[in-house]
Amino acid sequence: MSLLEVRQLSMRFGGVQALESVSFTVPEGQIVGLMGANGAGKTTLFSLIAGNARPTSGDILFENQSLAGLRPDQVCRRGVARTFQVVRPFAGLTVIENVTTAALFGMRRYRDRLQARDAAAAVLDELELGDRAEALAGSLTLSGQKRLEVARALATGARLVLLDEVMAGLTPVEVEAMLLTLRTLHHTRGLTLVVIEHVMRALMQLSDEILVLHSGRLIAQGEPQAVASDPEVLRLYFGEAA
Amino acid sequence: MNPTRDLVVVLALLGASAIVPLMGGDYWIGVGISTFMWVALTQSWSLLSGLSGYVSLGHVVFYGLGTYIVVTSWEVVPIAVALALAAGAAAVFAFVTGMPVLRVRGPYFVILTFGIAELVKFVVMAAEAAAGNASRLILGTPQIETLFFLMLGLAAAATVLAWGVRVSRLGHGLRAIREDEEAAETLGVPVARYKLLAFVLSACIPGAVGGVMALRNTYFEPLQAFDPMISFSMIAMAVIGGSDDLRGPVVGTAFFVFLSEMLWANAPQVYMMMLGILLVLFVLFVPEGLCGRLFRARTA
Repeated sequence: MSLLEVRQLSMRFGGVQALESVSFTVPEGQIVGLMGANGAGKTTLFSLIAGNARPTSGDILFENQSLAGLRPDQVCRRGVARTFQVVRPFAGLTVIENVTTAALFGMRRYRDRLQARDAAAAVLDELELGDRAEALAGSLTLSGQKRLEVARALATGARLVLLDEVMAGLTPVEVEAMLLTLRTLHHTRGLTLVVIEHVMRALMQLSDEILVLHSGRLIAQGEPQAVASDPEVLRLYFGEAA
Repeated sequence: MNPTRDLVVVLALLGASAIVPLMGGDYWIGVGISTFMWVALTQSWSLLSGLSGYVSLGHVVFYGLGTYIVVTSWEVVPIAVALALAAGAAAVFAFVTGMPVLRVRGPYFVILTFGIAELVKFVVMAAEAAAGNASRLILGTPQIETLFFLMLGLAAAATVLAWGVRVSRLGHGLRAIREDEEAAETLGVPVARYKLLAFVLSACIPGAVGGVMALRNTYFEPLQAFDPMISFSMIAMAVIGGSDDLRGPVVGTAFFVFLSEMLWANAPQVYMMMLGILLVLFVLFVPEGLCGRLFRARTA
């Protein structure tokens, strides 16, 4: 069954058509990779799903219920979490306070603050941030802040997590570590993930299915191998010669 | 930071100051009233602005409205009812104005709160002028000892309220809003509702404080009741004491009351200058306030 269904989604900013009639489904438990050049509409798509922006037209269904018109906090409580490409930690709060916020207010909505804190601590351990729990979030390295973004999204208890370039700017070693972490999380928590990534190799390895956006339109979708040999994708990514 | 331990410390201090009327004369009781007034006001301001980062530059409007309610209802309703009305009116005003005002952030919010407080001041002035009152005098107000204990109670109530918010989900959500509102909302914090709730909670005690001050001053004059200096002072005290710390308002207030008692009588100009200079220095070098600095020094 599909956990997320995007129907004919369009988004226009003034004269710019950021997304044009995009439709796809994300089956429960899958990892779907989202590819495309800068400005292709990937982050816009996340913003629309998470409620940070309103689509011009089209609908988004999560667990067969429309998310249309919901605020970001309401979408979050339904069970959808996102990370931000440009990290947005609560810099003046500690790492554990950052994650506790997600546990208190997300889908899980812990009543008890100590329970929320325990849950947050468990998530931090999964993301290997446990030893930084009492540090101020603003003091983490980029790699640490990317992990914190993922930790906060997980701590909401979301069933669908939208990861926006959580590996961008990391060293190859850190990318490998993040890939391992994501696979482990997917496996142990049965999470459904939609992943935006520019690190092609990483995305190919990780995803069950790949979607390719170009200038706001969905131009290819399918298994990583099929997409990687799609003539249209090759043309756009590697130029006519390929 | 341990809010519950801080609460015990602050309440113990307030409780200990209850002996002042037994020991000192009217002068010391008066100092006590103004100290408690500032603790109550600053604690309430910090509840909103210290936690959420929405800096209100117009908090005097709640104080002024409270004053006005008590003066206009004098000898119409009992004092207790009048004070409850003062707090309620401030809360209702915060609720009604908060819905549009809290939609804007940063400097726009600051300017808007200031503008609304000035607007209300001039509306009250116009209403009073139309009614033929330049000022109002009220006679037969309670004794100064009664006012001392009323204000002490309000300072304690403001502190307990600020504590309650800090240890609740609301406080946690407000801090997240302060750090990054969009990220907070995306993690499930109902930002619009929380901001409005904080605004209303931070308004009610200033309303009651204004009411008690009307009884203390025994007269009402809009320019004084809605004096922007009251808003500025709350901010200065909170910033210097530490606005995200339950002890901050007490430390900031003690500092200022001491300074003003030292300087106000002898050199009022110097006092005002000191206030400005201190505020600049603290914002630049000790933005977390005295309590924040002391706390960090201890854990570092």
